[in-house]
Amino acid sequence: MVHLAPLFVAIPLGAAFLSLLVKAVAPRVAGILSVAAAAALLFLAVVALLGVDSGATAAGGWGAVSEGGVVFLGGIVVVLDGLSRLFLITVAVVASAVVVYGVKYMAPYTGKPLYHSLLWLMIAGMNGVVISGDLFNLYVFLEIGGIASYSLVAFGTKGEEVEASFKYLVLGCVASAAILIAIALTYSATGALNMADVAAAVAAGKVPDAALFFVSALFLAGFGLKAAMMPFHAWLPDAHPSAPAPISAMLSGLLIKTLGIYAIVRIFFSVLGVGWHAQVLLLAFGSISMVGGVFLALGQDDFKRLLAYHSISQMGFVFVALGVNTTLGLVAGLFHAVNHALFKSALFLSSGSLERITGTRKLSEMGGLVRRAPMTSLATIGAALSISGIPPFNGFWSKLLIIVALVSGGHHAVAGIAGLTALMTLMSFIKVQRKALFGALPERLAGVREVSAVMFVPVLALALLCLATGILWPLGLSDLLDRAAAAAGSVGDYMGLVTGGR
Amino acid sequence: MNAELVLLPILIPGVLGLVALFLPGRLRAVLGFLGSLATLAAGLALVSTRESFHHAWLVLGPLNLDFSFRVDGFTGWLSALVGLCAFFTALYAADFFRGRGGAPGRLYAWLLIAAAGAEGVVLAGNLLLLVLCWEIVTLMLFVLVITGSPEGAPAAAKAFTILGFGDVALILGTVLLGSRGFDHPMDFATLAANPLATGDLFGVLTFLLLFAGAAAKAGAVPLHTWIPTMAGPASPPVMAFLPASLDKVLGIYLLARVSVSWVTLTPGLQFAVMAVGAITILAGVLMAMVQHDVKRLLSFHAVSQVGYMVLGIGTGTLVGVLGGVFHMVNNAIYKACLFFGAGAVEREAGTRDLGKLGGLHRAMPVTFLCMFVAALSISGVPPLNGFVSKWLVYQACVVARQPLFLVAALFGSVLTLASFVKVLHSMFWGARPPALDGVNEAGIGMRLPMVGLAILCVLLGVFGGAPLDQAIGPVKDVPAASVALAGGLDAAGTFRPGVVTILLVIGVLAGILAAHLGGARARRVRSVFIGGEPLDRAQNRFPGTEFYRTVHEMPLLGRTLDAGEKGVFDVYAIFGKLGGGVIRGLRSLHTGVITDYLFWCLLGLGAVLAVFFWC
Repeated sequence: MVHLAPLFVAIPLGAAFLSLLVKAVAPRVAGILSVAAAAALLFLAVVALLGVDSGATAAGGWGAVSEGGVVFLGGIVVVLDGLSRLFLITVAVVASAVVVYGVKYMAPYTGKPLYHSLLWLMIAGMNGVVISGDLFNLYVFLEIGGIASYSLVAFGTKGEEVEASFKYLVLGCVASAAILIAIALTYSATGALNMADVAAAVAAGKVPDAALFFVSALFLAGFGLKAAMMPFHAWLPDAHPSAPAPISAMLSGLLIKTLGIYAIVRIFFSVLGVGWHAQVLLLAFGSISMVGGVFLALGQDDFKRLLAYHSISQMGFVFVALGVNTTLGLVAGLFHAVNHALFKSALFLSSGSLERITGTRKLSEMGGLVRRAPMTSLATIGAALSISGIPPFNGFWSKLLIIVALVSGGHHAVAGIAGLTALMTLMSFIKVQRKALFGALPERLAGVREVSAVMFVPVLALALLCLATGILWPLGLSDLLDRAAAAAGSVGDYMGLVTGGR
Repeated sequence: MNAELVLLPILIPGVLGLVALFLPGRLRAVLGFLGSLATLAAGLALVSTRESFHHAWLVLGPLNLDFSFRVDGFTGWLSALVGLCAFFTALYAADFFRGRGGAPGRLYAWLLIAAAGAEGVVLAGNLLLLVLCWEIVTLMLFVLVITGSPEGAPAAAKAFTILGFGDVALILGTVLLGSRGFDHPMDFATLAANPLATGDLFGVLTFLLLFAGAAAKAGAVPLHTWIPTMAGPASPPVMAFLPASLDKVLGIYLLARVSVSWVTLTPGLQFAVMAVGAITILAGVLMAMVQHDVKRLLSFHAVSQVGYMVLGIGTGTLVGVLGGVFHMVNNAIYKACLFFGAGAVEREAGTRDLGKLGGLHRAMPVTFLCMFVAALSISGVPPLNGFVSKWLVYQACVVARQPLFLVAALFGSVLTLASFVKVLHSMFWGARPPALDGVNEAGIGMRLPMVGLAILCVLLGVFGGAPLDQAIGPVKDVPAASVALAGGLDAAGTFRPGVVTILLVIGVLAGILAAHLGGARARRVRSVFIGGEPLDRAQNRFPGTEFYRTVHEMPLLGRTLDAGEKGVFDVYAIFGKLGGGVIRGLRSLHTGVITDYLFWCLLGLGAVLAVFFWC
């Protein structure tokens, strides 16, 4: 199974290049190609989910190098463990829904092969980050995903979109610079880029405290920016709504998690170790993100912008859960990250559908759509109930777990803030339902009709998954989460996994 | 007796409700009727059993969630009460929406699911499970109101927000309660065996969070404002089913569980709870006095009555708890009856403005009689059920030596009577406005629930000892709770419902006899000289809305009530304004200028470095 892991990058990369190739010959094929690639990726992810073995392999296969009695794996180290498995399956599921949705949604746009190519490059970057076993490759994939997303934000090429993309680009580069400097400093302090070797060096106390602290600070700020942690969040409310809806779903649903949350979990929990400094910072910045994000969302009338602010707020939940630094906290945080991927992508996709049929993103100009677009409305309601934390939807469980983790970690005040944020999230989505879906239908929208099945089926599927994971998570998902948390939470295990193959 | 039987009252409406979601309208109505009847039957089957069903499921760190349901002498009756409310509501709704294109949305499906949730709350033996079922009821209320009518959306949103606040508080309280390090911390047995002491901040905070959850659901001041707002747009069956009766039952049930078995209250906290109760009684009834819309008026009484329950339970005395819990049951009965009656009048007369109603007692005699009985009951007139439970609450105030709260409770009762004199006069007595000439009695499906509930009002009052013994006593494991009426259980006074009833009947009969003998039935009619103009019946009325204008003209009170009517004391509006300020502040920071954002990143990085190197 582990030897198949490089395919998670190879398939998206292949799809990206093929999309460009067919551009010259038959532009229509790009969509079919995309869906086929998504199916392959989803199949691969299910296979990965069923396989329980974890391990590392070296892609490229130019053999092991022996140096002074120590054997190094040659090639690009690829690691498949519980944590990466969890993110791979999440990426595959959400990306599949987005790709199918995009086939119809992107119809009015020009340059569709380019869109497919960039989308698959972004997926390749995300998967690469998740399976990469060394810091520099992680950085490279981070940039692939990042640059693809900068261009996708500007895909509509209107002034507003280009401006958002530019801001995103500038701030993203700041983060990348911080991360790159941190990687360079890590290399200079440990002489290694392989994360297992770095972890070994840190565990052996070979890294002076000052260097460790500085590197940790840079990583936290850099990946924090990628994950839209306040006060590094300012790019998100512009970038996420400006992109076409499928891309917004990818950005909010996946990109901030794979490039931000996953990297933070991997680097802090598996490699550098979470000191109390990082804990305090995660709790503090997480709390600020939760409250600040949700207040800003409450004041929004633009549906997509509202969703974007909620992403900041929901990422705050994940940060505080990670900040507890217990297995329960880790499980809760990862669970919420996965849940957020499901319901936020569903919400962004349905915001796209509603925008398409009503011609507006303003909630105050919508109304009574539940009768006009019943399927899209149903999916929106399901996802909204999920993000609002209503049982039995998945969002309820992960928020409950986060509160439980905070309380049992002794962070009662943060638990209170989390509860308050959950309430305000509920208020905000009540507003969405009240203004857009229920109430009276404005005259202007009298002729509105439901979107085509290609667009509402993926959204409904995601909303159903929100319900299913909420009801069934004790059966299978909790095991997956436990394994992910165990994989992430133990520095020793990770080292053994990678170096054991030598 | 089979332990799985405990699951029936939950499973029947739950499964049927989900099925009903996918059925066409007419079938859905049939299923709603049959399902709620079956729920009632399943609930009744539990009344004399003591069973429990346990299936261990989940351990979430310091929490555990087991499928644990149990029925004791008290909850079996409550389960039947939930079933009764659901059945009467379904029956009533079938007639109420007849000829109006059927019930709006999927009313019967939501009704059944709400009933399943309420049964789950009542029968749960695990606190987390209770919370889950509790949230289902919250959600169903929102769905029922928002799908009921387009105008219902803002009211539904407000209700969901305030109830959501209560639910979040309840969840936080639950987690805190569970974090004390016991095995199976959410099991009722564990909670009862290790009552939380409220001597420290942790204890006080935990109790207050649980209390807030219960108070929001029941509608105690200041978390009550969703009920009056909802009264207008929500249909009468919905109002009667959830906000008026079941939400109170659930909220007070939880409060009783918490303060009787799970938490040991300090005198200070007891006083605080009693104060909330007393304020709720007075604020609710005073606001009700000045209302013109009968549904809105009733909703303020629904708030006011919660005060008695909270006050009784807050005294911490045996009598008080019994009285409070009994009042919760009685309230469900008479308040549902009142909302049903008001709905019937609104449907037949086409208005619920008290100023436009009048003289309907001949046109709608059954509705009038039922509302009359229920109005006397809510006003605490012996020998009806409302009096018996209020009597116990009065006793509790005496036992707890709280004269101030006793006065509040008595005063509230008097004002309630005054308010209902106005309601009855405005709707049924006085001159009938010409617009209402063609009004007929409500249909049989609407009359039956009203009559049933009115009969229950009488029975539970005249034979008040029996429900106390059978159903209410088990709350505190008191075998013969009816001795409280006879001055037992430390009660200060005696009330014998049987004797009082006989005396009252004799008194009323004597009065009628005296009236007949004295010739009081002979009416003098004088023609009024108005300059030859024909007498206009519409202008020559004395609508009940004018009754308590004087309350308005009192210097301080009038202005306070006006402010209340404008929502000055509405927590929803107050926090809405505060939140608006915060939002404006935060938005003004987001200038859209990239250098500002870069500066924030720099500040953030600085903060991160500062924590790492200086802390």
